[in-house]
Amino acid sequence: MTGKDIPIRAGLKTRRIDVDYLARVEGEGALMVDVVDGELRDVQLKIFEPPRFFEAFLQGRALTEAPDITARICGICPVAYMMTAVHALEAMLGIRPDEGIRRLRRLLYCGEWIESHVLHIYMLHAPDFLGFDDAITLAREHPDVVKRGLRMKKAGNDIVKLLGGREIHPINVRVGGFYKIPAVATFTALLDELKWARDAAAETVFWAAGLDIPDMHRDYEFVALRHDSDYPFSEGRIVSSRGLDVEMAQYPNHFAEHQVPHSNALHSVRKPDNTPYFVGPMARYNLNRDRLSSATRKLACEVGFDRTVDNPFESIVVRALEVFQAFDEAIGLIDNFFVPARAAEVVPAGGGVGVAATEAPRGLLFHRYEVGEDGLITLANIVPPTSQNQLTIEEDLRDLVASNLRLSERELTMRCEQAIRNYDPCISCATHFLRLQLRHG
Amino acid sequence: MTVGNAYRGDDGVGPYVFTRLSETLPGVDLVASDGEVSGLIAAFEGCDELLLIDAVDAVGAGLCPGSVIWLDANDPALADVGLRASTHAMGVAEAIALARSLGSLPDRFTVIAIAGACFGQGQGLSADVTAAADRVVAELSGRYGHA
Repeated sequence: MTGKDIPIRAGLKTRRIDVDYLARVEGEGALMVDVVDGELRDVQLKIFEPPRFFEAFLQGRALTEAPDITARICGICPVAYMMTAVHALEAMLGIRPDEGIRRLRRLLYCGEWIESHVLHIYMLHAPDFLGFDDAITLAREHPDVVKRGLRMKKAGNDIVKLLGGREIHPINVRVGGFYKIPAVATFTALLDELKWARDAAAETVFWAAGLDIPDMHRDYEFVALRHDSDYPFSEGRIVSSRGLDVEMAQYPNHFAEHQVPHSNALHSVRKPDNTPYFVGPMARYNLNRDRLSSATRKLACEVGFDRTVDNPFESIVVRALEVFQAFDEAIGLIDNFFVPARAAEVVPAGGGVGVAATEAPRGLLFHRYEVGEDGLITLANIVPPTSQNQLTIEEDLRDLVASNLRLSERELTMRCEQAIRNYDPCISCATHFLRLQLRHG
Repeated sequence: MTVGNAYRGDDGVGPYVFTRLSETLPGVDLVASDGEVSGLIAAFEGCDELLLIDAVDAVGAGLCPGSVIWLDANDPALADVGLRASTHAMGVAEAIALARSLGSLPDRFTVIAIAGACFGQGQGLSADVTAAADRVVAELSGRYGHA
């Protein structure tokens, strides 16, 4: 509770919602909403977690160290950080790993999406829809639902552990490929559990689609990767729902980061008009539905999701569909295992500029490196999905509050938090609780 | 089951005990965990008896470094923690609370908490924690050595 006084002109009624510490998100953030005389004046998603200086840490380090350093940015989606660094530096050095490596990288991504999405669906977001404070109280009433989620998440963990060496902060990823390729039999040993999990993912889709989902629609610019044939992980072009279609290297020409006083995370906007945009599962889904497997498309039709999704509260269903897609693809990759010719390509000496974007569970993740001829990084720029979504989250909250001022203090606060969790924001590494102040002038 | 990170000072007491018990209790099922919640809960399933060894922060717990606390995880007097926090901060306490809600706690479940003082980066336990870990290993080896 911040308890700041709000300047009020005589006769104006002022209402302020302060959520000092957002719960069930990754990291330290807060929400402030000001309503004056029935009109929404201001919404701020405050990210007060201290800057972490990863881009500075990378300066002077060997390019081969970048995957392991950037993995430490996030304990939930380290694969995305590692792989974006790998792709950027491989592009710079002209390394082209073979099809076997490409497929194993997709498998690793499947594992991470499953881990991250299932955690969010069941542990963080579901309690909002079902009226529980947290997953522990949810588990008391719906133990079978939570058990299903935990077992699915573990199936994702097992993929990352096998291929990455451990579930969190994998250690087997390197520029050029992997340090070691596990034996084929260790992959096929996962199949029975993955097939159970794919069925469970289908149940999750139906369950999520049956939740009481608030109605809200906005005209977003969705931004995601789009690949020639596959649902996007780490290849393709950057496209948007308003006609953008550019190579990854063009990212800085179309997107910019701005500092705002109330946040330690930079706000990203589209150039040239400084407009918000939307990255993440809904953006991927809307821009790549035709790249889903036939089984996922069929499932989407069965729950009425063979359409553009513009209600952010429906993101829980889209995440569930992406979980099904990830299990489906993982099973296909193992069933048709393609043994790489070698664990890793040789990394040649040299420098230059390396750029890549991949699809982290929460959306587009951009890396750019400048590397000297000695192989040391001289400059790094990393744009995570949450900073790209911040402005869009604030815009959602503006619409939501403006149209729900009739709600009680508690209801409005809960709805705002639920709306923030639609984006599964990864502010990173902290634990706090919620306090609310509602001021009447 | 031991929990901990060998690269974070006294948090490595779990891995240390794991290594020692691997030598002294070859017939007992030993599991090393990094504390990931779904993995912990999966490991709880199907256990008749479970002992979980983990470090606790001596300052936060109001204990002297090297203290050892034996807790019954099924004791209803143990306060439930909430799961409203960041998922980055989920750990043993949250896993136990969640397993309790799910009705999947082992019938006999003891948490052996060893109070540590230094949780910074780097390997190696402080002297008090090493001595405490050795006491725990001796106790468990004596108790289960002929299992």
